[in-house]
Parts: sequence; structure tokens; C-alpha cells
Amino acid sequence: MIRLKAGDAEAFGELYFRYRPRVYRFALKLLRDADLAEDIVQETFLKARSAIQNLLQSSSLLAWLLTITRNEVYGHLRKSRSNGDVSDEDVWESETPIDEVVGKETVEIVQSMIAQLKPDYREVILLREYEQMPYAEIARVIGDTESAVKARLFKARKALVKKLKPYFGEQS
Amino acid sequence: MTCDEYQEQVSQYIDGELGDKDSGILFKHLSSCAECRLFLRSTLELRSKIHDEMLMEAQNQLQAQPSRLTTAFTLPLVALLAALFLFLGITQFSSTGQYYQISDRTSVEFGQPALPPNPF
Repeated sequence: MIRLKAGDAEAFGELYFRYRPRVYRFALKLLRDADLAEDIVQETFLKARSAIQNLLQSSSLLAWLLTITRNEVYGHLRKSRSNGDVSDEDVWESETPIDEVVGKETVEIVQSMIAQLKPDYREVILLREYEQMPYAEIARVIGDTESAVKARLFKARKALVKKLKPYFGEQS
Repeated sequence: MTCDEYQEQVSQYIDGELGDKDSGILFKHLSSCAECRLFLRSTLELRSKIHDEMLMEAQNQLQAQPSRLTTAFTLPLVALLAALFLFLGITQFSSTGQYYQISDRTSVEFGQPALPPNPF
């Protein structure tokens, strides 16, 4: 942390090498576009480098990087959507066509279903399940309250479990 | 409390974010509610499938690129072996006396003074 704040290029290289895969995965799963996710990763690390002085000693580096990533992703989504509104009562962004899941393994179906969640539901699932962050840290990353995290996680899980019921039933 | 509220607690419980007291109340409810038990089982299965995906992703990454650990050990090892072979080669060469012969010949060919004569 001290080396990073002192502008040590090697330390920043280590930070990039260590966290790039997780930043990329988060961006990719939020955007579902590999090229765009690559652009977001570049932007994230450029912003991180210029804002390294703002990083608090107590902060988790991953949480800080994912906060920047999230802001970049939402900035992009706002630009690309005419209404700019990503919140809705319904958790689904789009329906998964039935032929997309036929013959696939449950793991792939789960992935596909998560990808269909709206970004604000998808991100809490990603931060909790993939990054195993506690609610307080997720709340910091998404800039919301812990209650909101709890509620969004529950809604996303409930919706996923409902859709996945037939596939889970097959296996058990 | 409704089943929907209990299921929200199930979601918190599997994340380790539900207190002991509330967990006790939740489990009392689960013992008598098949619907909420099914929600618990399904959310755990969802998590297990996500973990399977992460495992597959990690395996693919490992297969796709050599690990840093391997590289970290391989490069110094190759350098060490190269240095060892070079050292052994030179030692072998000079022990046969050929080194000096070649040096003499080279010096003569390039018109440089030969090795100084041995004063003893």
C-alpha cells in the first residue's frame, strides 16, 4: 500500500497482475461483452493509478478496484441506454430463449440465468458468490445500504431459484 | 412472520449474516415448513453450481497458461544448469591444456604478443 501510494510502478504492476482477472470477470459478467469488458478493465486501472492517493489505508484493494469497475460499467450502461434507468421491480433484464439452455449442463444454465439478471441484481450476486464479500463491503462497492444489499440478494436468489427449479429437480 | 420474510433470512443465513437468535427462530420455522426448507436447499444448490463454474474457470486458466510458480522456479534453474555446464566445460577444457594452446594460436594469428614466458 505504501509503495502504491508512493507511485511505485512495480507495485502497480503487481496490483494489475493480481487483480486483473477478477476485475475482468466482474466487468464481463455485468456487461456480457468481452471487448467492452477489456476496455473497462483498462479504464479501471488507468483511473486506479491516477486515484491511488485517495485509497484509504483500511480499504480492501479488491473492493476499491471493483467500485471503480462498477462506476465505469454503469457509466457505459447509462450512455448506451436512452432512458438511463437500470432499476425496476422486475429482476430480469431479458428472457433466456429455451433453445439456449436445452442440452446444457446445469452449471452453464446457472451462468446463463445469472447473465439475464438486471445489472443491479447481477452485481450483488457476483460480489457475494464470486468474490465472497460481506454485506458491508458490497454496500460500499455499490454505494448503497446493507439493507438494500440484503433485499437485492434475496430477490435475485428467489428469482434464480424459481427459474432453475426444473434443472435442480433433475439432479437431485 | 411470513414465509417470504423467513426466506429472506435464509438468504442471510447462508451468507453468514444472520445473528444466532434469528438463526434459532429460523430453524424452528424450517423444521415445520417444507417450502422454506426447499428454498434453503435450492439456494445452497445454486451456490454449489456457481462454485463448480469457478472451479472449471480456474482449471481452464491453469491449462491455458504456465503458472507463475513454475516460471519462477524454472528460469533460475535453467540459468543455474547453464552456468554449471559452462563451468564444467571450461574446467574440462583447461585441464587438458587445450585452452592455452588455442590462446597461443589465436594470439599469433592476430599478431598480438604471445603469453609471457614462464620465468621458472
